[in-house]
Amino acid sequence: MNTTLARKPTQYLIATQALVLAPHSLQFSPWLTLVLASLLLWRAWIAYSGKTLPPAFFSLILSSGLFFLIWLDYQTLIGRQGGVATLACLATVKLFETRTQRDIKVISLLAYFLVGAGFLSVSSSWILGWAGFAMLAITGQLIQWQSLQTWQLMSKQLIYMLFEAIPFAIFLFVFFPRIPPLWSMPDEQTVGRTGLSDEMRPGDFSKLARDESVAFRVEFENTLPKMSARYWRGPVFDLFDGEAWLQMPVNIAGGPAITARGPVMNYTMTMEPHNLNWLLALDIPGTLPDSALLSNRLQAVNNTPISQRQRYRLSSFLLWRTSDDDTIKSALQLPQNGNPQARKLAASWRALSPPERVKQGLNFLTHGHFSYTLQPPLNKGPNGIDTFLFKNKQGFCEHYASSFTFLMRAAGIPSRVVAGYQGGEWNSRGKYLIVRQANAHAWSEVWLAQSGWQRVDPTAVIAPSRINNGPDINLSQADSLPFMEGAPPEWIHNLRLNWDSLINGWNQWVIGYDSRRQIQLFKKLGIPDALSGEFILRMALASSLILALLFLLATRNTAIKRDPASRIWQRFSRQLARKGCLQLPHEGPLAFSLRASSQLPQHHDVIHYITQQYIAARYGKDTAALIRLRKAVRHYTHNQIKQSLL
Amino acid sequence: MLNQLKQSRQRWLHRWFNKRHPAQRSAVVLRYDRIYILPSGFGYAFCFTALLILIGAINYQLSLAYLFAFTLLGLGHAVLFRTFRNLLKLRLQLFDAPAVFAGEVAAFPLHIRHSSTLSRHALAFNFLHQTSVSLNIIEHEAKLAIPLLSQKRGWLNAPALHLSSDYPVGWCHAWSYLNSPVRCIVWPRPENDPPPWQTENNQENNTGRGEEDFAGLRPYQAGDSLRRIAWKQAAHSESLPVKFFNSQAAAPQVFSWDQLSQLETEARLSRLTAWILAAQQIGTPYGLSLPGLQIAPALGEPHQISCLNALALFDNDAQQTPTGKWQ
Repeated sequence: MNTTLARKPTQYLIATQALVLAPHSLQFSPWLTLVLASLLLWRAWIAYSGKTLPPAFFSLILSSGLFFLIWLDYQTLIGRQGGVATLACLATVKLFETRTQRDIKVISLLAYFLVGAGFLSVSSSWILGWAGFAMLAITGQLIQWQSLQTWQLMSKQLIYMLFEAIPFAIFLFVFFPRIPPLWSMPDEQTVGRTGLSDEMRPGDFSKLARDESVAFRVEFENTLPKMSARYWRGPVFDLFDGEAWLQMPVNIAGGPAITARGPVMNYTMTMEPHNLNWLLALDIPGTLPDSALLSNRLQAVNNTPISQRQRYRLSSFLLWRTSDDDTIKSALQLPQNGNPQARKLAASWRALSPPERVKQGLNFLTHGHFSYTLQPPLNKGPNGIDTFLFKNKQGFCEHYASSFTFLMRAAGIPSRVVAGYQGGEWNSRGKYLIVRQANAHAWSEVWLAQSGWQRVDPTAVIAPSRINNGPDINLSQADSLPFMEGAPPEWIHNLRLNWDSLINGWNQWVIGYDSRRQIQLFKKLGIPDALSGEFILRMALASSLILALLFLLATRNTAIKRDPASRIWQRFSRQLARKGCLQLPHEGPLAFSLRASSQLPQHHDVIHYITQQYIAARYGKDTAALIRLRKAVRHYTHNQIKQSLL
Repeated sequence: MLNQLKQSRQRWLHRWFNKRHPAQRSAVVLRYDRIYILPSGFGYAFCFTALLILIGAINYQLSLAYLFAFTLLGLGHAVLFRTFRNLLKLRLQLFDAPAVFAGEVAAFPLHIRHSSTLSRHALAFNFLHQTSVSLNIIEHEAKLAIPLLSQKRGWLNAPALHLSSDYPVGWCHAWSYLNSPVRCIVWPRPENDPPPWQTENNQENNTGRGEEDFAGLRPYQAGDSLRRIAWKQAAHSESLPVKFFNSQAAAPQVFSWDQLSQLETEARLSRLTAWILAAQQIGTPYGLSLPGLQIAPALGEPHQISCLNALALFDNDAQQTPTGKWQ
C-alpha cells in the first residue's frame, strides 16, 4: 500500500475531524481544546504542504502523554467526560498515522462514535443538527476515498442518502422497544447546571429572576390550580450559618405524617435537566414516581440526578396537615451571634401564642415600609438580616424568606426556608403550564402544633402581585427589564407561547420519547402488546414494505430513459416495419429514410418530413420540431390503421 | 472421500454458475438476479459502531442518540442500495483479445455502457486471480482492456470476468460475473538469440549479412523493418523510402519443422517463431513447412500472422483455460 494517501481526501478527513470535535471542545478543559486544535492545525499543514508524517513512535508518545494528562485532569479515562476526551485524543493522534486505507476506516469509525458521544455532552436539540451534518461529512469523506468527485455531486448524493435513511430511522425510532438501561453507568460529576442551587446565598434569586429559560412544564389532569396556589417545592434549607441557608443531609426516616385536607392534584411534569437530585412538586407531594422518595423535610428526592429532560407523574395536596416530626428541633437552629436587633424584636413576641407570633412577624413586614426590588442594596455581613430589616428595607424573595424565618426562629417558632418556583404561565395552545427560571422563589414554612408545617410567604405580604400575577408584571413595575420597557407586546408574547408549545412537542415526542410514551402511542395505534406475534409480524411486513419502497426509490434512476423524440421515431419505424421496411441496426435515420422512400414511393413525402423533424428534435434539441414530429407520426399512424380497416 | 465431496461441490458450483451466468458473446445487461452483495469487514465494523451508539443511548436514556443510531443504520441501508445500484443495468461486452506471445499479458477489450442518468463510480474488473483494472467514473460509456496472463501457446480462453464495486463508502461489496467465451490466440514464445537459419543454396548465415547488395529504393510498406528505412533520403522526399536488397533477401526461405529434428516440439516452435520474426524484419520472404501444413513463402503482416497462428495451434487442439473458481 502506498505510504502517502491522496492529498485531497486527507484534507477532507482533517476538516471532518475538526467538525466532529468542535462541540466536544466546549466541554473539554481549555488545555485539551488547545492541544487538539493545534494538533489538527499541524496535521492540516502537513497535508497542505505535502510534508512527510512524523514517524510511528511519535503518535505512541503523543497519545500516551495525552492520556496521562487526561487522567491527571479528569481522574479517569472512561465515562462521560474522560471517555470522550480519550476518544477525541485517540482520533486526533490517529490522524498522524494515515498510511493505509485501513487507518482511514478506523478514524472514520471513531469519528462516527464521537458524534454519537456528542449527545452525552450537549443536551440541547441543536446537537441533532450538528450530528446529522457531521455524519454526512464523514460519509462524504469516505466517498472521496472511493472516487474523487466534485463536492456538488457528492453533497447531492449525500442528501439523497439521508432521505433514504430517514424513513427507516423514524420507523425504528418509533417502534424499536424502549428498554431500561442495560447496566448502570459510572457516576458522573454534575456540570453546568442552571436553576436553583443546593444552598441559598444572597443574590442567587435576583440572578435567576432575569433567566427566561424553562425550568419545567406541567400538564394537569384535572383543574389548573390558581396562581397563588402554585408553589413548586424544591430544596428545603434548615441550616443558617449567618449568611447562607444550607440543606441538611437528605434523610428519608422520621418525616411527618401528612393528612390531606383538600383535593388531590394529579399532573405530569417535564423537567429540564438541572443535574441535582430533587424533583419539583406542588406542595405537599402525595405520590411520587418510582425513582423518587419523599424526604423527612417533605422534599421529593430522585435516586439519580436529573441530567436529561425527564417526565414524571405526581400528585400533590394543596391543603394539608402534618403531624409527628423529628425535624422540628433542627428548625430552631440559629448561629450563636449576629443580628442582635432582629433577635431583640423577635424576643418581644415570645409571650404571644405561636400563631400570633407568626402574625406579628408578617405585620412587621407589612407596615415596615418594605419594598420589593430586583436590585437591592447589599445586605451582607454577619448582621445582614439587621441591615435589611432595619436599614435598607429593600429586597427580593430570598431576603424576605430568610429574614422572616430568622425572626420566627428567634421567636421560638420552628421554621425553615423552602426554595422552588412560584406561579407559571399557562400555554393555552399546548394546554400546559410553563415554569421558567424567572419564577424561582423562596418562602418560609413554620411549624404550628395544630396543623404541623404550613407555608408562609412573606413576599406575598410585601408584593402580592408577585404571587398573583407572576414575576413579569411585577418586574415591570419595580424595575425595567434590561432589554425593553415594560411587558413585551401581545404578539411577541403569543409568538413566544406558540414557539414554546412547538418546543414542548419536540421535547415530549422526540427527546422525551420513552417506554411510557411508546406504550401510549401503541395504545393509540391499537397495538395491545409490543411483543405479541401479531405485532412482530406486522412490523416485519411494514419494514419490508418500507425497504421495498426505498429500494424502488434508490434504483429508480437506473431505469433506462429514452429520449422522447426517439420514442416517437420508434413508433414510426414500427409502422414502416409492418410494410416490410425494417430499420437495420447500422442504419442512421437519414439512410433508413432514403431506403424506405425508395421502397415505399407513395409515402415518400411523409417519410421525408418525419425524418427531418426527428433529426431536428433529436439532434438539434428543437422542441417545436418535437411537437411537429409527434403530430405527424400520430397522423400517419391513424391513417395506416384506417387504411388497414378499410 | 473429502476430495470427492470437494469435487462434487465444485461440479455443483460449476453447473450452478453456468446456469445463472450462461456463456454468451453478446452484450450482457446486469440485472437484479446477476448481482451479489454482502457487507464488507468495514461494513460490519460500521454496524458495530452504530450498535455501540445505540447501547449508549439505551444506557444513558438519550432519545436523540437513539435517533442518531437509527439514522446511521438507515444510512448503512441506503449505502447497500447504492452499492447494488452502482452495478445495476450496466451493459457489458467482452471481445477477443489481440494475439500475444506466450508469457505476455493478453488484453481483452471490454465495452461498458449504461443509459441511466446516474454515473457509475469505482468499478473494478479482473479475471480470476489476475490483476484488476479499475474505472473511476463512467458517464455513459467506457472502453478498457482487461489483462490476462498467457502461459503457453494455443487458444487462451478467458475465464469469467469478475467485476465489483465498493462504492460509495466501502461498507458493502457488490460483484457479478460476465461469462463470455472470448479467447485470444497465444503464439509460441520466440527463442532468444536463435541460431541463424540454413539457407538452401549456400548454407550461409543470412541474418547478419543480408544487406550487402543494395538494389535500390522503394516506398514503405507495412511490415518493413525500421532499420531499412533510408532516413537520409526520407528527409528529401514526401514518401518514406525503404532500401531493398538483391542478395539473399529475394531468395525465399522455407522454415521447416524437419530441419530441427534435434529439438523438442516446443523448442522447435520457439525457434521457428523467432526465425519468422527475424525474416519478416529483414524482409526475406519466408514460408513454413509443418507436418500436415505447408505455407508458401511470402512477406507481410497477414502472412506473418497466419504463420504464427499455425505455430500456435500446431498439434494443439486442447484449449487452455486458466484455472478459476468456476471453470
